[in-house]
Amino acid sequence: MKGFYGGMSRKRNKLGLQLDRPTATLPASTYGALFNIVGGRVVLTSMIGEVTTVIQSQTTNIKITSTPTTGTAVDIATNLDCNADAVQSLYGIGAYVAAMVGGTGAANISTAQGIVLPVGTLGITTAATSTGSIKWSITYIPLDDNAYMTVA
Amino acid sequence: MSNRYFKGRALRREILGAKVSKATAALPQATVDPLFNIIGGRVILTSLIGEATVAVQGQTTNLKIQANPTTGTTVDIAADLNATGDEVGCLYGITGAFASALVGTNAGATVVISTPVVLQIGTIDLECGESSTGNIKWEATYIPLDPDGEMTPA
Repeated sequence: MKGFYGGMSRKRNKLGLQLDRPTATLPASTYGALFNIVGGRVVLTSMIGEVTTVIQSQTTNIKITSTPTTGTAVDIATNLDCNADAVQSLYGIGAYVAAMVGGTGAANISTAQGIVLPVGTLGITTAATSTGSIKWSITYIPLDDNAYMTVA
Repeated sequence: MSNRYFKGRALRREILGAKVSKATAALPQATVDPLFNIIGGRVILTSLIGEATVAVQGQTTNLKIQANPTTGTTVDIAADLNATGDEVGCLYGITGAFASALVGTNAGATVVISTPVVLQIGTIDLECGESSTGNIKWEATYIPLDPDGEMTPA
């Protein structure tokens, strides 16, 4: 198990804390909060989604939004059409405020740039009402001393 | 002090290095103001984050970040961003690519450095191209490159 713990420690030393959210169906043409940012600002170091139920075969644009408690939201990843993406398709954040990356067979799945998030929520917005489920995992570093993230 | 406080602070320190904060201040009036001093040796800047505490005036307000060494020539480490009308809570960050503009949209999010920047002894400065109202507080994280390298609020 030495390798296991070495890997965990290395991940933590580079990416920070990990938080996993159980799989859930897509929001129906609306914003759905995935994670809460509590107590202060955090630096998001990665965000990974994995399809657990195939996405419906129709235009299904998904974007990732940081919604502060006070102030205006920012789309930290803009729309990606996830039409019919298969189970185990992976999603991530590429360049800041560029399109979400990933899809069927994709392997490019990491936040290229650390992103500062204020107190509020981090979530996805779907532009259509489609069937399908995605589970999400994030890693983050507390920027303010009391900051942490929870599953929404 | 909760256990979470110590864990968060320790983890941040482990990954991003030491943190230094400067109290909120009005924008420089068509001039340059130092934000932080670099003393004792060189440091590696791992993040520089600003947060508007008073909305920026609704007129062209170009902001950029400079590294100003005590000896030698100033370098822009983030190019101009027009911060006109930015709301309270608006977050600002730099990417580390010298040619890239300061990143700030509103309160929702901003970036941290993906290419760490080495800073010589001197100051990190904020240049404002115009005279505009508005206040921003700034924080930086850094790792000493030389054993005695340190940053302090200017």
